[in-house]
Amino acid sequence: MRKISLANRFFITLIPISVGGILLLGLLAYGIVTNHIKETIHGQVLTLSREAAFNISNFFHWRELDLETVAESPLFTYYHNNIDYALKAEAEQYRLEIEQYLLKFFKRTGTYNCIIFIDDKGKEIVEIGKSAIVSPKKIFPDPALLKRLTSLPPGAYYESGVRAALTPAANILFAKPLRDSTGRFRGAILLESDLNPVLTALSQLQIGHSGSAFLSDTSLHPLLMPPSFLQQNRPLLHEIFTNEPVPGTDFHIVVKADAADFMAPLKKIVNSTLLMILICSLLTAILIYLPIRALTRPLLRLVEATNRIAKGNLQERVEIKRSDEIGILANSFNTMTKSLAERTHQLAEEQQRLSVTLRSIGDGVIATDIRGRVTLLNKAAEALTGWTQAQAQGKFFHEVVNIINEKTRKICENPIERVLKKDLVLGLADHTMLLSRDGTERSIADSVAPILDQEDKVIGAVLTFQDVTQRRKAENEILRLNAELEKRVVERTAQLETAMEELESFSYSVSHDLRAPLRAMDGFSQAILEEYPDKLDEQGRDYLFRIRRGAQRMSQMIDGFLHLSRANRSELVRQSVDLGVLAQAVSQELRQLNPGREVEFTTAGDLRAQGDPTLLRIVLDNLLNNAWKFTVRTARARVEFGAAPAAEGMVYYVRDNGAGFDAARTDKLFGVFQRLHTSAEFPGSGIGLATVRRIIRRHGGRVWAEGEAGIGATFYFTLPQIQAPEVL
Amino acid sequence: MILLVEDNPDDEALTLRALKKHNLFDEVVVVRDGAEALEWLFITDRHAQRDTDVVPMVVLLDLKLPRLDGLEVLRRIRGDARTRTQPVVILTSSQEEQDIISSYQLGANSYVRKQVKFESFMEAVGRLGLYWMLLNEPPLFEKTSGSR
Repeated sequence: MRKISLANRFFITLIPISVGGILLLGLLAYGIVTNHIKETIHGQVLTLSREAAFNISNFFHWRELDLETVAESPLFTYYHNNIDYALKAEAEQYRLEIEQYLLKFFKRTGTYNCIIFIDDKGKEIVEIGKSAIVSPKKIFPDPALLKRLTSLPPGAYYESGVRAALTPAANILFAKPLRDSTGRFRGAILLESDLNPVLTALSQLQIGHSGSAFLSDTSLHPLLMPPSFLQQNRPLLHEIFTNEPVPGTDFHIVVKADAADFMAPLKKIVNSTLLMILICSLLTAILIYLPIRALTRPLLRLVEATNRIAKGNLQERVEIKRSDEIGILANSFNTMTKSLAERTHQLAEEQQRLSVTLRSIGDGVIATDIRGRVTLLNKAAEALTGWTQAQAQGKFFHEVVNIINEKTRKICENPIERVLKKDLVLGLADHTMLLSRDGTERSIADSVAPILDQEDKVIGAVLTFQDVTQRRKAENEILRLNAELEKRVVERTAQLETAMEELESFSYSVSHDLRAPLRAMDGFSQAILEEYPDKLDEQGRDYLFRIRRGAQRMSQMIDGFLHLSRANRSELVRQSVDLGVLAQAVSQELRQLNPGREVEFTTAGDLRAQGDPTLLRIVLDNLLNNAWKFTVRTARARVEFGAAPAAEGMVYYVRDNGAGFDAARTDKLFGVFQRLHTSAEFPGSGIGLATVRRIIRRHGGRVWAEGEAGIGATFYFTLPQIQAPEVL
Repeated sequence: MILLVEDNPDDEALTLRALKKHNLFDEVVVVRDGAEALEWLFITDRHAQRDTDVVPMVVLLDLKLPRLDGLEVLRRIRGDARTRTQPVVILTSSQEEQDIISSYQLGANSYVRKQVKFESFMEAVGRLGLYWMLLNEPPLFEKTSGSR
């Protein structure tokens, strides 16, 4: 495309518009003026032809009037009367008077060629011609005319038509019959006129150079043309044509004119229009071009300034002091340039900072261009590869960096190339080693990422890596230790499982087999006591009772032991439990088992809890049993089971006003087979509280006791709502 | 009559003593292992010649038995059409939850623990005998005739 300046473009666009406008105006004016002229001429022609028609009409009217004037003269009546009465002399006298009268008339009108008076036979009586009396001809030459006159109605007159062959010299005959008082035809007056007045009227219709008029019949067939008309035969370019009927006749006046004759002023208009177009175009050109220049000059300066900035001169400013859009543009330009300079400065600083950061970070960083040639090598990378930035610059990546597999010692696929080809981030395979320039081997951990430009096109790749030799050693050590630990755990688990199995079968055996001998001891001791009362003295019976007590205590201990064992082994199923209901049930059993005892049992507080119902039943069994047991010697025994909120959740307690215990020995309470009282004082297995602690601990809770000898004891326990990890 | 399945002679003696005290001694048949119990019930082998008209009102079954344990005996009893409705009471030392659950699942009619204290033991056995021999209406047994 050819380069057209903004000014020229404006110019080229505006000139056709202005010139075209003027041209259009000129054409419009031309059209209007032409039309106006045509209409004016047409109007003139119409006026003229009407006037001519009027004149011509008048001519014929005057002839009629003339006929009437002449015919009304009484001389003709007198003449005819004398003829009728055969008074020849008197008749002759009147004839002479008529002669004089017609001569005078002839002279006065000056219109006619001749005036003739004929009698009813057509015989001429008087004839006036050329202002003189001529001797009348014997017979009127046209018998048809006579016949016509005879048959004319009264008052009418005859007029010979203007024939096609009529020449300017042709005549018209006007005639009027003369009738007596009875209406009898007695003769006629004939006036013969030439057409000069008509021709004069026609030839007066000179319109333009070539316009002319003629007389036509109703079908516009030419009847009478002035000599000038006959000379005109050239075709008319812009014909103006009018026809106007002549009043009182069958004639029309037809006017033809050439409009071109009247177009002279138009030419002037055309010329002046063209001149105006020329002048206007010039003026427009000048008026348009100057402001455009004024507009584009500062723009050109802006363009030049932009070019200078593009070449790097960021201090460039444009000096345009204007208040219009261009001034604003220049201001914006200056602001933009200023902020561009600031940004460039910031960018340079940022780049510097990044570059320093990059060089000083601990990881090795190697960047390449799109073809895989090294562009950057930071300090850490220099140390690890043994190359300097200057040496490596421009070399292909694989010339600088050798990565091998730790185990196979084969050279790994060039990661930079893979990334450049596939445009993905790549973590290197495990167990890679970097061979430095001096042959040192280092374990490295690294990743490669593509460098993308703003349009996400790959323009290079960057490898970051760390020396992980020490870490990898440590990792290997950890792996080894883990494996060993795992092995030990498996062994211990197996041992534990075996132990658990043994415990299980032991418990089963205890449960089934250990009681039978005791039962035999107890049962047969009783049998001896029952069967052989006579053969035993008091002491013998006492021994048997001791055997029985021993067997029964042993049985209790076995029960307790089995409880404890079950508390350890059975699966813990957490569900909602109302401890109050459980406690009431236990209390009820205790009442039935000890019908002689009076114990006041109360519960208080919200006693709902989450836990294993079977195990919690064992807990309450033990605690309430103890409370009953240790209040056996209390006068008004009271046992209370309740709950109170505390920081660690609800704390449940069983309180009694029984024997209590020595507060100093609280730590012994919950041990297996630990007893604070002798069997003689209070019987018991020494396993109950151990079982309670076991169960509460398995629920993730805590159990403790407060007591004072002789006053009473309170046992507390908690049951966390949340599912704490089960403690074995 | 009562069929007592008990391997421990001490327990057997004590049980019989308890029954005797309640005047139920004459109606007890004792077998000493699980296999014998089945032989007696199904009238085979050692007990092929027994009176086929005798049908126990209740079987008192220990769990820990030689040859076939109590649970297996119970399973066989419930598995055979002839003895499916036979009342069986587990009478054992064990209070293991698992034993109780298994017994009921296999169709035991009752589970009674042998107490160590003789008075308790005697009362339990006595009540059992009285209940099953006197109070309980037995199912209408099919005749265990015909020996194999």
